[in-house]
Amino acid sequence: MILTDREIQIYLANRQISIKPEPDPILYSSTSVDLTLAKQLRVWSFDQIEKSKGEIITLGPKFKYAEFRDKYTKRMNIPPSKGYILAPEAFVLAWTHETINLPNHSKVAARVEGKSSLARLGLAVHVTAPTIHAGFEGPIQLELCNHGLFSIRLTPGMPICQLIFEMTLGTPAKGYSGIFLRQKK
Amino acid sequence: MSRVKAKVIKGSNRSERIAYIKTAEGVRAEVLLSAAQTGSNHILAAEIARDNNNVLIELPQETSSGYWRVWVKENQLLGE
Repeated sequence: MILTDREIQIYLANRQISIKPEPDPILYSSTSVDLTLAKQLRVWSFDQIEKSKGEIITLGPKFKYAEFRDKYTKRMNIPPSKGYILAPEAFVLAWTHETINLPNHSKVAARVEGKSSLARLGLAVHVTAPTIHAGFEGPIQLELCNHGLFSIRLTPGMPICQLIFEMTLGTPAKGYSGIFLRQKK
Repeated sequence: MSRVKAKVIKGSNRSERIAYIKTAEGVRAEVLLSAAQTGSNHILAAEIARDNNNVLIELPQETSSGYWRVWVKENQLLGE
């Protein structure tokens, strides 16, 4: 079952889940709450990609995502006044400004989804990975991709995605302990 | 449902309307709606909360700037 706005607010008030900072009332809709864009981004380092001479990613036990990310991306802060211009076909990693916590005992998982206002312009916020598992804690990483024909200015604090909370049937046997637990921006 | 004052114009097809609502901050919010969700000078929206002379309403669709809810002045409501 999906939590409505009132249930989300009750869960927050009872500290069964947390979203910090707590969302403004205008960020809610009937069955979701919008999260906003953090100032930090990871953008691709095209110099490094050029040097890689067509490296092919081989997924498997030897592939280390963190090393790959650190080699081929660089961190940057979005200039608050100018924003970050996401060109057509560009792809960057971003985060929500809010940190969420879904303790296992609360029996809540969530899905991060796009917003229709941004989707109409071609902006996707995830690449087939919307699941926020029960037990997750941290900011949510977004895979922003501009499928549209126009550049889009991204500014910190803009509503960027929506979070839909779902009750789980029972408590998970194992708390979420994935590699992205308590991920940092 | 409440009727909220809006400037309503034709959309890109016969069943679509574009509505402009004046928010409590004086900003014009744009929202694409179906014709059934609008009248000639209003849209239908759900009242969520009140704060002094402002009313928080939930729109039937997301605004172009990405909000489902906006604060409007009480005098923007036309009643049910």
